Amino acid sequence: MKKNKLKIITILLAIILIATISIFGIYKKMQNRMENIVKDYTYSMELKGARNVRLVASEGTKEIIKDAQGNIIESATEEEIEQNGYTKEEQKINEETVLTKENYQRVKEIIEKRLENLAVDEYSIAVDEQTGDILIKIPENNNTDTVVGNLNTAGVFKIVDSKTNEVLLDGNDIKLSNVLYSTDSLSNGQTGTYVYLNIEFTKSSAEKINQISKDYKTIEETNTQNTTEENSTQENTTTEENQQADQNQVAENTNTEANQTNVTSEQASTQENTQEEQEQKQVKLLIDDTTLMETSFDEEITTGKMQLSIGQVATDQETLEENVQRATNIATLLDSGNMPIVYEVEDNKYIISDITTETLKYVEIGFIILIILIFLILAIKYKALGILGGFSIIGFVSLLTLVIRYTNVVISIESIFAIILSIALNIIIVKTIIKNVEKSENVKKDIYIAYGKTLLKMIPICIFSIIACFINWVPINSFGMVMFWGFVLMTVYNFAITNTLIIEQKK
Amino acid sequence: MKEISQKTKILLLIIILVIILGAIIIVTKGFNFDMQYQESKKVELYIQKEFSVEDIKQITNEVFSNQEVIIQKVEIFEDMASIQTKEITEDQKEQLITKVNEKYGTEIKSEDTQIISIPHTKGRDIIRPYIMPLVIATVIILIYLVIPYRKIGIVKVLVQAILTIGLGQVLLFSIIAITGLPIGRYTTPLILVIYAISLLILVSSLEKQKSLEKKEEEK
Repeated sequence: MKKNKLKIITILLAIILIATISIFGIYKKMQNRMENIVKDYTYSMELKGARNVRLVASEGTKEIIKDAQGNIIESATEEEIEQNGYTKEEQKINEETVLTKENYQRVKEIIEKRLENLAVDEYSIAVDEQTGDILIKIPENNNTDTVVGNLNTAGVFKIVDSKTNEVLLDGNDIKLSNVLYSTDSLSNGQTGTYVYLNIEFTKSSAEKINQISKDYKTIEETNTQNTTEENSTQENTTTEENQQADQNQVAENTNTEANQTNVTSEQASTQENTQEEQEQKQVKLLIDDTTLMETSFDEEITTGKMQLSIGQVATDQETLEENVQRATNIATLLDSGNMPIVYEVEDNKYIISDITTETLKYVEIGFIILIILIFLILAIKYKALGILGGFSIIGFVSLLTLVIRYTNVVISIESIFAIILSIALNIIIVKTIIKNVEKSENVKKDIYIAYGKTLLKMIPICIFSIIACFINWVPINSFGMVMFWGFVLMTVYNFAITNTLIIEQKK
Repeated sequence: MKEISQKTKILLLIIILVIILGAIIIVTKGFNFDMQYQESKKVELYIQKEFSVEDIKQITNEVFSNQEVIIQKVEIFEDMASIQTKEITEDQKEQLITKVNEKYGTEIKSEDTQIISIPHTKGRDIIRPYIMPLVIATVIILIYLVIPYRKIGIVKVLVQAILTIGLGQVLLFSIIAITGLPIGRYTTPLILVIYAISLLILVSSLEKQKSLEKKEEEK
């Protein structure tokens, strides 16, 4: 009898301790002030605030140079314009014909795709169908500025002849673009990671790129191969050494033909080279008229895929992350398609949520009052068993809030609802256990039967929670994570604590 | 038994009426949207010092009468106020600026402050991220349910499951339409909660049917 009471009292004291820590925290002296060392919650965009970006269709003009036949000249100096009789014209960046509802919708879809490719797991987009203005809200973090930089980029991709500027392929020929990796042992014994931008062309364009790779083939006999860096890219030559390298490929889309790598190489024709019988033809890869690289093709592209090495080989995490970010930015632009309208960022501000920390404190106080009410109801209805059940629920809630903090679960409105639901489900379990053992003779058996039956009923909700944990959308993900931890605690905590309390009391 | 089926009949009737009424309202009137998703107007006032949202709320209550207003602080220094409401006229903007200047001793000029249009966020864009996960979860749960409850009848289990889960969501949106509750930040959590509760009701019902089947088999 005394042992039972001691056990019960010990458990109750532990629950009170956890509840106190959960509500008030643990304070430690740090740098002459008291700081709460219990981890704080992580809040979602809805509760913390969001970067509000406003995009407007550009109303500016651009200068167009035309020849006598009306053909557009890419670029010309003032001298050339005079000599050749070219004319300059001011043209709107966005003609009236492109400012349509369909194009505004298309731009919205492209932005959504870019946000998904940039792993933005929470956003909202609204389009004004009259003016084409777009309001985007995204979470504020270290990547926000990079994301904003990619939102309004037109993403016009072209492969052109480097001499004549004839467009050989453009963005419409791209099926998908993603980032691949491979690791290799370097001559100094370290392991390096290469980051590649993979561009896969459409079926109809695969023949085109194949022909281009033949027409612009590297003339090996007469040119020495000097590898040079241009802009932010670097070439890799396909040699037998590289083919023996370990291939650890990580791709967003499945790519089963990754074994055949066609990599372009860059040739710098130097004045030291012997006279060439054939002039080396090169292509330029352009994004928004900025040269990504100027190159020729070492090998024929037969798979319809082109892989461009991005940055230097990475031997440390920082370099790898930089290279991956660069490749991801380019892949995002290519994969999402060309924007039919040129947009400008009119406004870009971080706006704090209207749900303030004070409001959240009131929510917390509301929870506490609710738990106390439940405790009183159980105590009145079931007397001693009810009091123990009430304490058990208090312990469950306190543990759940601590687990949420330490497992980095994001607190969103969805997860707050999930906390309420978890508490409600736990109350059902506790009430079922108490009801079943009130007048029971074989307490242990009846407790475990009641406990097991109630948990079995919750399996479908558990399945849903686990699936939700894997969804790349913060509100759903946070709901799933809270429910998942709620179930883990319901299973383990009730088995260890609630059942023990009830059994000891009945003894 | 008669009493139970009478109760069930009444409940079903109420549910059907709610759904029909909800459908009529959705087709004729559509849903209400919360201020943050509605087409609205906004002004941003650079106050240059820390301010209290309650103080700005008092000012907006005077200027905008009973209009719903969302007041938010802007940027890390929290020295700019974003005021969003259904409609802001030039007069109201000037009144707002005058009162803020009086309160905080600022010199905000009306001509430097624009009224910004906030476009409407479509309901389908709010709900879209939830559709596929719920569909995937439902399919997997249906596959799971068939296993322990196959004695009841696979088709019966599947139909009951789809009806229960679907009915939950339909009822939710019908009630939202009838009551005029705005579609806002609490709608999507409610979708998830109702989905979870539907699953619980479904399993409880299937368990009852399973135990009845078992009793009949034993007889």
